[in-house]
Amino acid sequence: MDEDFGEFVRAALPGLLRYGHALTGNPHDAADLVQTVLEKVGSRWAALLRKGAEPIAYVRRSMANAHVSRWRRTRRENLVAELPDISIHHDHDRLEDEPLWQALRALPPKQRAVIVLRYYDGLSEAEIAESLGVTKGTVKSQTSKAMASLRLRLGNLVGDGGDR
Amino acid sequence: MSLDDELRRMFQDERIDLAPTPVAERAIVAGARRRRRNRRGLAVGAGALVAVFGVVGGMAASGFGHVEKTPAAQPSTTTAKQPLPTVLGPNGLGPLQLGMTRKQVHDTGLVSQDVLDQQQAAEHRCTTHELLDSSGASFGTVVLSRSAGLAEVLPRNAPRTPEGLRAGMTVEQAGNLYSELRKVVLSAGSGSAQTPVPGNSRAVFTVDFNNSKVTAISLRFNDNDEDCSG
Repeated sequence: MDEDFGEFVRAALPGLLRYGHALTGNPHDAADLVQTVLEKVGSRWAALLRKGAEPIAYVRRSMANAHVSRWRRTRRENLVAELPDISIHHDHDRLEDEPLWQALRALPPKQRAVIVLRYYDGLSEAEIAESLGVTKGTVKSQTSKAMASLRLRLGNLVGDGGDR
Repeated sequence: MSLDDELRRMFQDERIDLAPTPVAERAIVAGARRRRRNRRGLAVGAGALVAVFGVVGGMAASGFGHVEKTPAAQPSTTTAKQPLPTVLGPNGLGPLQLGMTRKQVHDTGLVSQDVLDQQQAAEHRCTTHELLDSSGASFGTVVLSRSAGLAEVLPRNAPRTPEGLRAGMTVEQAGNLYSELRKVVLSAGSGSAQTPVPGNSRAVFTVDFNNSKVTAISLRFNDNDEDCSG
């Protein structure tokens, strides 16, 4: 069972770290999120496969949920600081300097998750609602709040449908 | 360029890539194994979740380098403890019987009201609680399902089954009592297997092996959602 899960981790890790980076906005939180979620999934690996779940999709959904809920509750998972950092940050030319990346980082977790699910995963409103266990109305309102605050932060760096 | 386009472009940016460290896979597989064992109530190596859950008790705080969060002193031998039930199955553990309602379970005084795993409680139709002895120390966990009531009992006080299975037995000894347990696949001495419970067609024992010996036994409804494992 461990071998099979190990194979999965090896193959999926780069993609999941990237996804975690998009969700959390920083490499360290991305590594924490990926590690915490994968450990949980791995501890129930046989059951997950028995149920016929598609592991990557399941892990990504769990990551989005964990990202939204981890800042809401007291951090129960306070071990992460003591775990080995599982990623190496490739510091190309300063992603952090991108205004849009900065603006995304400033969003509250739920708004950011909705944006990532929509623009990174390409999910529909209904699919986002199902993934996060919220109503479509919530997805709509979170998306519109997020877009408004991104526009506000980016100012005239982005077009807005031609009103500038 | 519209904000939609900007966002799509941003999320395709290769600078979002992060490379895993060489030890990442091993660390994650080991972490998963540790969680699996802890969930089964195994005392050895339980350091990590002890810290998470703030559980204290007669468990060995073991070598993961985690700091105990709530190191409450154990009552000394001067405290007279009520004896704990020592036989697990076919229907429960002492006064705790599978299928009991939440209220009946808490009325036994053996189960904490506190929910251990908030994420599980939020995502699944069940909650996990500690088993408490008369001094308030944890001796395992139970799972309460919203639909089935008491769905799993995982005591850590080395109970026996009515057929005589107990911690420390080899795979062969366990297999002589429950033939299904012969099928356990051990990886580096660790693995777990299930067997039907004689006298209760709705239940299974899940038996964990570590170092090729029985280390934990749980009793659960056989149709219990796996995500609702304690």
